[in-house]
Formats: sequence, C-alpha cells, structure tokens
Amino acid sequence: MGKRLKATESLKRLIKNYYDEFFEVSRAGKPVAWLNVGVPCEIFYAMDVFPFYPENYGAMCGAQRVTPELSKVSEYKGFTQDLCSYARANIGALLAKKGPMGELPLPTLQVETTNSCVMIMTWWRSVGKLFNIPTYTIDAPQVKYDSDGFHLDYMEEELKRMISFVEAKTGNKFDYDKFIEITKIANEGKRIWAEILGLRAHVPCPMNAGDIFTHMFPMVALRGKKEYLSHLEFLRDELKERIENKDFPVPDEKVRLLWDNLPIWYDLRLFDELEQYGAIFVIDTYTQAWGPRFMGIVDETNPIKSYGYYVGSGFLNVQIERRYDLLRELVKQYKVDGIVMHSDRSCKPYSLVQPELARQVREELGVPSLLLEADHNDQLGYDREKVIARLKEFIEMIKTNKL
Amino acid sequence: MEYFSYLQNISKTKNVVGYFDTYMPEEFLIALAIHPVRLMSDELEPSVSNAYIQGFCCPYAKNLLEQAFQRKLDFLSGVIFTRYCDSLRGVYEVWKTEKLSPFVEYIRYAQVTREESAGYLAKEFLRVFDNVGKYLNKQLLTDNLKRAISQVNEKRKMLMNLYSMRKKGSLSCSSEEFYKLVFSSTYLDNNDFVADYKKFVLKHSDNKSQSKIKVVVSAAEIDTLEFFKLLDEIGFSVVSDDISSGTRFFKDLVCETGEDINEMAINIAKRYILKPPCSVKEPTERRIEELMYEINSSNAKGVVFLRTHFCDSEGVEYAFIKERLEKEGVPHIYVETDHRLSNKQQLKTRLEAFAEQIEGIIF
Ligand code: SF4
Ligand code: SF4
Repeated sequence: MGKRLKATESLKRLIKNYYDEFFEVSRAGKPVAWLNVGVPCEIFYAMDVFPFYPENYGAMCGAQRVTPELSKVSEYKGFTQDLCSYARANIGALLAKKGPMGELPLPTLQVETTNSCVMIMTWWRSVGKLFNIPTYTIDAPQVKYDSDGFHLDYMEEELKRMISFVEAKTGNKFDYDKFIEITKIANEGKRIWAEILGLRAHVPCPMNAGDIFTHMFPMVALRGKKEYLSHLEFLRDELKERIENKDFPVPDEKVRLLWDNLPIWYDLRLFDELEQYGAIFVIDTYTQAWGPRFMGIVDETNPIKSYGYYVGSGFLNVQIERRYDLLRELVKQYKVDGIVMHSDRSCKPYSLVQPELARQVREELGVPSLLLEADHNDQLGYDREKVIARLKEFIEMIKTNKL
Repeated sequence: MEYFSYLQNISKTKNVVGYFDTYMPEEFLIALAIHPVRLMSDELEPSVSNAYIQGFCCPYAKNLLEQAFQRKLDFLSGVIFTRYCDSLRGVYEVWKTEKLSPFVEYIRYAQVTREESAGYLAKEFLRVFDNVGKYLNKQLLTDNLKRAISQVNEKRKMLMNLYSMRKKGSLSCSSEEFYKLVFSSTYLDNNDFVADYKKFVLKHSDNKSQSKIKVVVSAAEIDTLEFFKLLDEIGFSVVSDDISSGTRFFKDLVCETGEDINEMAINIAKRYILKPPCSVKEPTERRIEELMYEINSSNAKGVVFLRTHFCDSEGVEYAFIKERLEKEGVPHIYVETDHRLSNKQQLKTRLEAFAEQIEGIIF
C-alpha cells in the first residue's frame, strides 16, 4: 500500500531549491511577484521576476495542519471563518509572521486573475492593502466553453496591461526572445505532463491520486525552467517503467475512481488507504487544470494572445457544459467506475455545480457519484473514520453492481 | 406578497425579465419594452433546491433558486445573470441546466472596474441584449435606448432626492416604510414608481425631529423589510445605507450624450463599471469612501454591517470596513443572518446591546 515513486525524491529537491531561491531572491531585494495559479509564470521568468504562488504555500499549510491556528489570526483581523481556507491560512501566516516556512518575505508586487473565483480577488486585495503591495488583477470574465472573439481580444489586452504594470513596478523589461525560449520549454513540459496524465489510463493504473497531486508543483510554478523538464521526464519514464514491469499500486484493481475537486491536503494518505479495498483513483479533474485541455500548448507565433486564451478559458472559468464534457471524456478514457466529488466548502466555484454534475453523469453515463463534504485545507470537523466508511461503502456498492 | 401579484399582473401584457444583482443594466431591457425586475428573496425555506446545491451556497442566492423550483417565478420570460459572486454563479448553472426560465442569459461581466474595460463590456452588453431581443422578438432601437437611459437616470435622481430628504430629517417615516419604497424601485413600472414616490413625499414631508438612533446599514444586499422593521422596533432609524439595492443602485448617472447604440452602450458600460462597487468587484476603495460619506452626511451615530451567511466577498470586505470605522471612531456592529432572519431573536439581542452602547456615547 502507498508504493512511493522514486521521482518523489527529485520533486522534494525541486521544491527545496525553489523555496531556497525564493528566500534568496527576496533577501537580495530582487523583484518577486506573488501570483495566483491562473497567472502564467512564463511571463515572469521572462522578465526576471521570481514567481511565487501563495496557493501552493496554502496547500503546504494544509498538509502541515496549521490552517486552523493561522485562521484564528485572520479572524481576529476581521476576516470571517467561512472564507476559503487557503486565504485564511495565507493571510493568517502573513499577519502572524509565521507558518511552515517561517516568516514569508513580502513581494515587490502581486498579480492575480479573476479566472477562478471571487475569493482569489479579495484575497489578493487584502494582502495588497494590509501590506501595501502593488497589485494587478487580470480581468477574465467567465465564459461558457472558451474565450473567443472580442473576449479573447480583451484577454490579450489584459495581459499586455499586466506586463506594462510589472515593467513599471520592477523596472525590468519584458524580453520577447527570452519569453519565446521559455514558452518553448513550457510547451515541451506540457506535452510530457499530458503523457503522464495519459499513462494513468493504463489498466491497472500506475499512479494513485496522492502522487499526482504532490507532483503538480512543477506544473504550477516551474513551467519554462530546465529542471522542470528533466523532472517531468523522470516521472514519465518511471511510470512507463512501472507499466513495463507490471509494478502497480493496486495490481488487482477492482474499482477505478475519479476524484473531483481539490484534494484534502491534510489527508493525502486517504487515497492509499483505499488501495486495500482494490480501489484506486485513476484520474482527477484538478490536475486537468494544468493539462492539455485547459492549459495547452501555447502558439509560439502569437504567444500573448495564446496565453490570454488559456487564462480566459481556465478550468474554473468555464461553465457546467464544459465541466460535464470533461467528466464524460475522462470517464471513458480512464474506464472510470465511480466518481468521488469532494464537496469542498471552501471552494464554491468548484463545488456548487457538483450535485448537478453528479445527476448528469448518473443519468447519461450510468456512473455513480459520491458527494463527500470536507474542506481542502482546514481539518476542523474532518472525521476521517466516517469519510473512510463512506468511501468504503461506495466502493462496495460499485463492486456489487459490477458483479 | 404584493411584489409577486404585481409582477404576475404585469406579465399579462408585457414580458418580465428577472435579474439578480445591481450590475444588470436595466436600460437595455426598458429599451426593448421588457419589464425588468430585480428578484427579491422571500420567506421560503430551502427544500427542492437542497438536492441541487449545497448548504454552503449563500442562502439569499439559494432562496431565489428555491422560488424558481417552486414555480413562484413562472411569470418571468427569462432571467439574466451577470458574473457576480460565486454563489450566484452556482445558482446560475442550476437555473440554466434545469431550464427554470424560458431563457437564461449570462453577461460575461468585467470584474475589474477599470475604465479601459468599458469597450469590452459595451460589446458584451450588445451581444447579450441582442440575444434577449431574439428570444422575445424585439429589436434594440436608438431612440428607445436614449429614452430608457434618461428614464433610469430620472429614477436615480428621485432616489437621490429621497435619500437627501431622509438624511436632512425632512421625511418622517419609519425605516421599514422608507425601504419599502426604495426597494419597489427595482420592480415597479416607472410610472407606478413615480406616482408612489410623489405620494410618499407628500405624505411624509415633515421636519419633526425623531428621537431615534441614526444608523447606516452596510451590506451586500438586504431586501427583507423585516430587518428594517426590527431596527425600527429597537429604536434605530436607518438614515442611509451602503447596499446594492440602495445607494449602490442609484449613485452615478449614465452620460446622456451618446448618439448611436454603440456610444450609448459605452456610456452605460462606463457607469456600471465606475459606480460605487460591490465587494465582488475590484477595487473597492470607492465603496468605503461612499460609506464614510453616507455616515458623515447623515449624521449617523453608527453602522450596522450585515453579512449574509457564506458571503465570501463581504467576509473579506468587512475586515477593511471595520478597520476604517475604528480609525474614524464610528461605532459599528457586525451581524450575520439570512433573508428570512432565521436568527431574529439573537439579532435582536445583539442589536439592542448595540443601541445601548451607542446611546451611552456622548457625541
Ligand atoms: S475558492 Fe477555490 S479556487 Fe478560489 S482560492 Fe479557494 S480553493 Fe482556490
Ligand atoms: S449576499 Fe453575497 S454571496 Fe449572497 S448573493 Fe449577495 S454577493 Fe452573493
């Protein structure tokens, strides 16, 4: 149970180096930008501005189970306790000047985009106001399927305005040639990531969900860096090796599951736990946000518009029709027997369509879903035993139906 | 509720189209000879909607969905959502999927209130209202849009006047009566509103000073008169507000100089982009400034900040409103509730304590 990947060691090194560089660059007074995950880091690497992702740091707070205590600090300041736990943890950590990595050095500027939720916008606004940090918001009005026409023109203009903002605040120039080089590397990595996601369709599946969630980090923060490519290649090759050697987490798979929504960061072991019942999470919707459908290959001949397209058509910026299409495609491609929908009370845009999606997949694809209420980052009120019991019951139900 | 019967009646002769927040530009619907109505919450408890949307959806948004499921909104020819908050976004997805109205439109609204976004938003308005026109077999004409712009501006001016009388103390009415008229401006036909407005001013114009505690209410939205009644009973008088169906609805006019539909659409877009923002927009500095202005110009003694459960953006904005009010020495209270005031008793106790606290302060 819980067979670990060798690539996890290389990932740990990557994360450590990234954080070391973040602290070093900050200490040296070089430009640092705090971005939300919808903002393309490639542009920042091309401008020599270090991109840092507070959501990633938020997940670290979750994994280390410090969100509740940090939330108390933000509550004291007037932020309410039902806000997204990422935001509560992050704001609390900044106010308290503590957290999993100690006190975080403040950035030169912040950029965020509205392409996921209102929460992000208000979170960045708060940090900007509390610590007096210049902040740019890339407006990305929500679309049905994807960005096109005058909406796409607007996305392109928004990115250009953002670039001018970063230039003005840092004095660094946007280097187009470097940007194209970085975009090429990022594109190459995206191709490998697509392969990695594709390899999980193998029966039996070579990688459980806990691992893919952990391994998302380079896709979020390192796109365009050389070490990101080598790490992704390493991971892909290891999965191929597993398939060749028939070395699977659950060799005798009984139930193939899909996970919808963010993981429960403080309980990533949950996935491993279910392996003993012959169940494995073969795919999820969350890592698709960085996959070919939602963060695909950028057109190197028209890159700003192309990045604009992916920002405008981001996973949480599309509507239920596209979310359903995604589930339908994944269910077929990955031979999914059942869907676990983590109804994440922190994340309304992800969660509030789940009951409707569950109905559609049941009625149209005949696939059952389980709606599991929890929070992705705040363990208060999380009853692990109860969660496992419900999942076990769901798995047994699927097994019985398969007979 | 007279609101429902009134709208049912109108729908016999005119298309009625519902909307959900203060960013939906009524001007276009009026120009298309459609009756716009900002949907209001009612006393229904969530039941059918529970199977479609989780309990952490804001209860106000969920209540509107419940009304649709319970077929209380069948008089509507369609509804228009805008990109507003994440709860209404969830409600929109269910409304659309379950086909709860003959048509469901969605304005891909700019959330960042920059003047540069006006061109984009104007095009988006024209796209959406062209669709609405097609559903209902109507066409947007220049003269009609021009008239609609000035009609809505006139309504805004009347409301401004009403508020200024209230602040000066020359309207002797309860908060409940006052807000009944204010909220009716979001669903009454213009002629009916003008008539009611005139009657109201005539009836209540008076300079009798009231011995009530003057407060300003700040909220995302509150359309429940019960809440204002409760404040009256406790001894408060709401002299102004910072709510989306109050001052944030009528402040700022649309520039009336546009000659063709595109120019007018840009003028409308500018007004909606630059008006006092709700907390779901960015940035929100102007909202706090406007709130301070309302407090100072009405001589209010305190602020009641009301948050609907699970309203994310207000849960954040409150931190900054609180900071500012503390800095300015304005007493305030934070209360949380839903559109049905399910926790009325607790609210009452807390508000009474707040009244005592303010009364104890010598100004
Ligand atoms: S609400 Fe959801 S999308 Fe928004 S910051 Fe939180 S987890 Fe991310
Ligand atoms: S009260 Fe808040 S969450 Fe509810 S509909 Fe209004 S803005 Fe949205």
